[in-house]
Amino acid sequence: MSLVLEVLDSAGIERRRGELLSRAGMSANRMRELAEKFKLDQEGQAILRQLDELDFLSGE
Amino acid sequence: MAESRQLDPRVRQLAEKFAFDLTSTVEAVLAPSAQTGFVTRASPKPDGRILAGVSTFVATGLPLHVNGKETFRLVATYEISASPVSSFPAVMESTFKVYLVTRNKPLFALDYVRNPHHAGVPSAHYNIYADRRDMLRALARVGNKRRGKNHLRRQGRGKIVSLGDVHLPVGGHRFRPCLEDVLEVLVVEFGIDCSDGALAALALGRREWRRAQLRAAVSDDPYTAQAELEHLGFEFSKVPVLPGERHGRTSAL
Repeated sequence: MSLVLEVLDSAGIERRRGELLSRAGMSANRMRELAEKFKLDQEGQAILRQLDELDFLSGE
Repeated sequence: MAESRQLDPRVRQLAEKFAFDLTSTVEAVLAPSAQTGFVTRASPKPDGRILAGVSTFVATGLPLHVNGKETFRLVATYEISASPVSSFPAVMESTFKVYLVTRNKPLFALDYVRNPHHAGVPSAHYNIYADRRDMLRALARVGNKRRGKNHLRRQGRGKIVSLGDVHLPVGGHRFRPCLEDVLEVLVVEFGIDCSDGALAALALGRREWRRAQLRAAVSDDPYTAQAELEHLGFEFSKVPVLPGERHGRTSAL
């Protein structure tokens, strides 16, 4: 059974956000634009979902 | 399960409640592998809340096979808030999306939004990404009000509005489908590869889900629950005075 638990404080959230944006090579807004047109590939959609999750975790 | 040295016991409990149960269900349906687990990311807040996201271990979705060939991907994500005073963490949002493995557009999505961001969007809804000319025509003729206004505005910007933009309600906060229902659609209708005990495991998971939802529904409307139990022969020696029905929960789309 593969279970992973990560506990993130605000610094950890920001660090993770930076890593994801760097991996994507574009802004979150650009990813959202592409996603709305279904032009964001599955890897990009996965990154966008993780960014949305970080927004939630940061309480935004 | 990886963990920090001083793990808040509520974080552990939350992770076990969601990720462990989800993984157990998925692994009872599919062959357990390095890809069948779930990840919990939790962030304790100064006000005592714990916010957590739970998603499939494979960020691009759980791979699903037909006759040994990867054919579908299932994305499942949850956003959860555990308050310091409530016994049960609340699912703030959940999304289940099914994709053909190589495509960017899902076949369908089942979303739950506890507090919808846009007026008129049902708390629990399906979006079905299938195009049909009659539906496109219908959506070009919608009334310029409520969500119809939104559809017309998007069409005015040159966008094609299709069935996937329509939110089809499914049971509101308490009676919405669960992940087991989506998995069962994939097993029964799409014939994904699964274990011999898949349907029994899904039935078990669904029963647990519905019991949890029933408990919440009773809290939403305790006096209707009491009346029905009395109808079945139960007798109550003490009936507390409660705020009564939570209309925001019982009548929400």
